[in-house]
Amino acid sequence: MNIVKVGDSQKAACGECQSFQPVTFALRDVPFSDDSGLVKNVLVGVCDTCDAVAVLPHQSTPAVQKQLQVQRKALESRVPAHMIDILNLASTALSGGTEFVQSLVKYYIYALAVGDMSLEGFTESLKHDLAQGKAQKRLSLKGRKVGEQVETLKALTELSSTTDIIKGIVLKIHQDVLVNKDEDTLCRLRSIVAASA
Amino acid sequence: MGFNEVKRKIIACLKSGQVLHEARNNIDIKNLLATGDITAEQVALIISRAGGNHYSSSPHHYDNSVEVHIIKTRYLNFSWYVKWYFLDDDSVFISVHCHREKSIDSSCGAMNSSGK
Repeated sequence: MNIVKVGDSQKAACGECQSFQPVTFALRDVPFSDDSGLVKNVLVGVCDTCDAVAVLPHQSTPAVQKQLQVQRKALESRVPAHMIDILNLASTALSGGTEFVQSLVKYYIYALAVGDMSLEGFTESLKHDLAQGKAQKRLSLKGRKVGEQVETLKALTELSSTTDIIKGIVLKIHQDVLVNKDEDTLCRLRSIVAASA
Repeated sequence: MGFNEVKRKIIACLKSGQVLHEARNNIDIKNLLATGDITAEQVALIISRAGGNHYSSSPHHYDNSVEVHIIKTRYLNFSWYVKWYFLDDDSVFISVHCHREKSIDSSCGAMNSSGK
């Protein structure tokens, strides 16, 4: 393995200067290209001309991988057993199977966090009888942005518990897919199923 | 440099760790080698199985004297796209990504023993 040190320099293509420039290796905080996070204090080649990060030495990839693994860590929640049944029923109604449950919940988390869906009545829904019950089943959601979006929802709803957010989403899915059966909503959800099948 | 020489040199770079990744002020999460989702040994294996018909090259936009090498090939039911250039004794990877045909899943789980 070729190891570079802070202060070493070489030539590399700089995207900002649009040319090959001398770069010097230094420790920097570097964001991911999808803005999902930041790798802190990672060794990179910095353009001597414009100070942009131009190159990542392969020795820095374990630090990148470690940060990604933190972001990909599953979001865990324990909910009453009937809530899993609601998700399975909704998933089956939309796709004919239960394999869409995670994607369905993640879609609602995203849509509610970015404002594509209304949060009206979200907090109040937690008083519903269906929100009660002993938390006996585990719901695990993976995704680099899920945790961040749940935090956004906590801020928007002023709820502090991840489980309450998940319960609210399950109840909204119940209302949309199994009770109201609004054709526009069902059509949109079926399209998402088809795209991720 | 002909394809066989390019192939020999990039495999040698991958095996010896003479590897860098292009970074446009950020870390490209689609470069699976930069994110650690695939190892240098696995990329070397993919390239070693590619033939001349999977290979193309063109001059780098920033400097005509630098040749950019591209391999598009299939491996383990994934279509792979690998793009790099050589700078002195180093290889600089611009892109290492894959997709599974007839699916939008690009997680390349088949190549990632740790899973996601």
